[in-house]
Amino acid sequence: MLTIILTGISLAAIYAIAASGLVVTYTTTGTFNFAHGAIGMLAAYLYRQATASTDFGGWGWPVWLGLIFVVLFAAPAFGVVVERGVMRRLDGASEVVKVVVTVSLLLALVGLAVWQWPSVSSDPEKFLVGTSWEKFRFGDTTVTGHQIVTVCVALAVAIGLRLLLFRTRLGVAMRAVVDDRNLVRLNGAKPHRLAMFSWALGFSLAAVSGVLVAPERGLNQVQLTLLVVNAYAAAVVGRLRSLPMTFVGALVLGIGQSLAATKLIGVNIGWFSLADLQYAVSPVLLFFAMLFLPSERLRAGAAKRVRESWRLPSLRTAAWGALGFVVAVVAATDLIGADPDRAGLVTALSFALVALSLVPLTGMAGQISLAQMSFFGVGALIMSWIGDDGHTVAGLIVAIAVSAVVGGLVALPALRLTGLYLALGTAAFSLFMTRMVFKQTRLMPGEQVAVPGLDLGFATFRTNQAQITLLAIVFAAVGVFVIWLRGSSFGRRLTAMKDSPVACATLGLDLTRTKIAVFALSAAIAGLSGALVNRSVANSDFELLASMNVTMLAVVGGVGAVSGVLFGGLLLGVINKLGDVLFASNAVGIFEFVKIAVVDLQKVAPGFIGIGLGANPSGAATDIADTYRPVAESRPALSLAVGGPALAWVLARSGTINKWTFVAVLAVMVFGVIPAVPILLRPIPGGRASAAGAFAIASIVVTGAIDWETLTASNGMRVLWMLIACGAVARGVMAIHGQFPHTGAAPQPSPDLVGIDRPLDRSDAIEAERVLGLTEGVLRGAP
Amino acid sequence: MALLETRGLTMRFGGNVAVSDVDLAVEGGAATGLIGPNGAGKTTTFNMICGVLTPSGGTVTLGGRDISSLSTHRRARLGIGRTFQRLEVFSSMSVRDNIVVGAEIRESWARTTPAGPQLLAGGADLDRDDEVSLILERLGLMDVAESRVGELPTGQARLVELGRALAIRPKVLLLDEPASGLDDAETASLASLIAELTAAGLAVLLVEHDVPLVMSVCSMIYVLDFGRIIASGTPDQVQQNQTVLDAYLGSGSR
Repeated sequence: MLTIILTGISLAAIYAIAASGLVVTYTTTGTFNFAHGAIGMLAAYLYRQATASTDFGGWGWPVWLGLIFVVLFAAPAFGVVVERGVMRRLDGASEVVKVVVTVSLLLALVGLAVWQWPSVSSDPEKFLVGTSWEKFRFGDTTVTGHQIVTVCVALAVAIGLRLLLFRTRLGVAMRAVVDDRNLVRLNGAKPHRLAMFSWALGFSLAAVSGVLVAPERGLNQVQLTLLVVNAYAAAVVGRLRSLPMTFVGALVLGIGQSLAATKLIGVNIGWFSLADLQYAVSPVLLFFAMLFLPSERLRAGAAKRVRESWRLPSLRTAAWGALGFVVAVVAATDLIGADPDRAGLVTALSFALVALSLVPLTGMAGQISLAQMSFFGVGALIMSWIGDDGHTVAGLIVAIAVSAVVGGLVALPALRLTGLYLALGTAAFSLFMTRMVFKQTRLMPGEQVAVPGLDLGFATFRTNQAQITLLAIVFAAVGVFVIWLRGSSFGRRLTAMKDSPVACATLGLDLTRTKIAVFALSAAIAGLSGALVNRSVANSDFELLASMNVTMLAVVGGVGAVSGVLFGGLLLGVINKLGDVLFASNAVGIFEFVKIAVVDLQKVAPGFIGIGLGANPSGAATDIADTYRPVAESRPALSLAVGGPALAWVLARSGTINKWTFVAVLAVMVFGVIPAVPILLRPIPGGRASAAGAFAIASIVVTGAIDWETLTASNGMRVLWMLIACGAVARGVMAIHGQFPHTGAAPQPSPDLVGIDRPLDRSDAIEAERVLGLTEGVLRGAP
Repeated sequence: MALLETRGLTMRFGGNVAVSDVDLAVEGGAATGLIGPNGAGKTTTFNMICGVLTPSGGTVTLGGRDISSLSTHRRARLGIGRTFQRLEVFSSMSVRDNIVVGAEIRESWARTTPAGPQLLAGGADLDRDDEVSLILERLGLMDVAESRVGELPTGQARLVELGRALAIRPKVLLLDEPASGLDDAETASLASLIAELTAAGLAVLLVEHDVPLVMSVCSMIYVLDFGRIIASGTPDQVQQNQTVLDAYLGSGSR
């Protein structure tokens, strides 16, 4: 028993180190680093790389050098890079964007580690020092040297942090910056330097915990990342503020896990096996901690300038768009020769539907969920039970209902609190589901289950083509519903709640109930997509990382707009599935001259796309929409946008042009020519519109005349050439016309810092007069 | 007994006592002023009355009922409306939609907790669109009804908050510096609007730095300094009070 507790304490020490790093970064910068676990994981790999002998592909460094390199150099340096390159731009960004950017970092790092170290073994006994570990025995109790070292390191960290925060100028400044960043700056401190320091410190602590935990649990990218994720729970016990309470949380967590790991093997409640409860201790603790946290204090004056912006399409536009979408999807799939080749598109649409579930929750209400794939799993599971003997319609309805109820219950403890806790709570729920529920033999034998296809009586969906049609129709219908919802009373309320929760409360709105409603709705849509999955699904499909991917790409695409999540969902589908098919012949290099395996690129790409979000919090869809909005408003451009692809499709369908040529013509039309049409049609003096138009038509014809199928054998090269062609055509059209379109507005600097960041000038005086409602000219000294 | 009363209201932030032992009585059908220098605890008092802050001590009663333990939205449903010193508008929405949201939220809870009459309409029962239009018109916001609130000057945005609060048909209205950012003409029409609302039976608690405005619309004034009430009375009494003159109006005034 004492052995168990001592093991628990050493585990607790690791969590305490990791969690204190989280807390330090969060309190001083206001950003909760979801990637903390991934940093620890990466550090463990890097440490192994540095210290393993050259026989095993390492660099053969001594242990002390490896430790110094990883903990005191690499990790803090990386923290500085991340702060300067990514986090600094997130000042004033919404909670959603902050969460997504750090989640992206997590995904990118996991991808990077999987790519760099596909399989390395480490001898756990020899991991930290070269010689094998002594085991100390006191009667029945065994303690390893590693455990003693771990606990000592944790104590040192605790004392060190205490001294740093309360005894040094730097620490005092760090505590001050928590309260008011601008005020600290006015008093002469440099918040950016403090932020940089605290990221570096946080990363170092993550690295320490990673290096210490790896010998206990072995090297595995995802497992190590998730292990440190356990530290979230300890940090929440400390309310993300208090370091002593965080240590208490870590202690509960470590001992609880140690007990569960030894005492609950083979214990069942009914058929419900508790064997894996050790992995669920952390989510459970996190939930309990949240239940006992005091309600979020509504804060007046916390309303932020809204950086994200979306335009709302009318219901009419939405309906036409939905119809066009279904037609386009069906037409495009029709061109793909064999039915099995269409599987990738099925997955992509399935992801798009899950991503759609985030539009009400994240886009409208500004809340975030990292468990959408768990609700997807709930939907799939229920469909497999009820739909098994032909009751698929009933299965679908029950799946939607149960997902909604589960969603509401999950969200309940977190919704009283701020959006960050919802992200943490849903992440915990996701871990709990994969560890405890989807693992139960009774529920999912062999951790997988076959989900039957929908049977409507008059229609079944056995082929991929049929399934694609079904998913496209469902996506279009739910999409129109979501757009309708946005313009409805409920949708307005959600937007209002996102803009100012405190104002909503003072109007009599029950914030918690409203949030539960929207969370249940979101979970229901995710459950719906799970119920419609129509294939065999496995536990791994519902993992936390899968949910993170969906949420990240939905936000990257533009979670405020249905088109945005479609873009994000399809992108995820392309990265996950289509890429394998499309670039399979490019197994070595995506292009002939770049020797990066596509599969490796696929691992890393989504994370890095997400990290780029900081630059454009509204997501890619708004940029795209801004480019194409004039097209929708110009009748000739719109008819070309509809007629051109339709004509090309007819030519491809009849075999006049081959499929790759069709894709190329489509790309040139959509990206190269159509956005330019409204500009060509606008009378601008000096514009050579007819010459440019002739060039555009000629380039489309030339593209169509090239046989893209035989041009090159590599799909990667084809895609590259197409991109070059699109760019060349677009540039050419505009160059001949002589007019370039203006895009984007200049960023607005914060008015709070006028005179500090930049000197006062005349425009500030004009602005001040306007804002203060003064007579014009007063501040400028005009008569 | 006054419509809204506070007894011994106290707020401590750590060791710092922001508001100490404040007793207020806000009568229906009248405007009550709450004045004091910056940092005196006026906004903190507002936050405790409407439930945004939980007081460290003391009670709030509305119509004789102790509402101290109720949440913010429950208090709003019982008839406490407010505006904010630092703007809390729905900045991504149009001016009209800001008011519409207020009316819609009221309609959703009015089924269980009956709301009062719309005082601007003289108690007549209007449908939602008419009521929203009436509010926009009375606040002079008709011309900017379709603009995004985030693009309005602060003064007009304050009026949007006022309109939104009126859309829930409150019994007590807490106004936190409604006149800052308004020009003289707009302030004058705000004063007459407050006078009209109180004449129709509304209780107004007004925090305002524009002393002439407070003196002209309020029948009763409390003066707060360092979290304590240092004087109270009619405008005339307060203006004669030496403590007030020293603490707030400046010892040189009058």
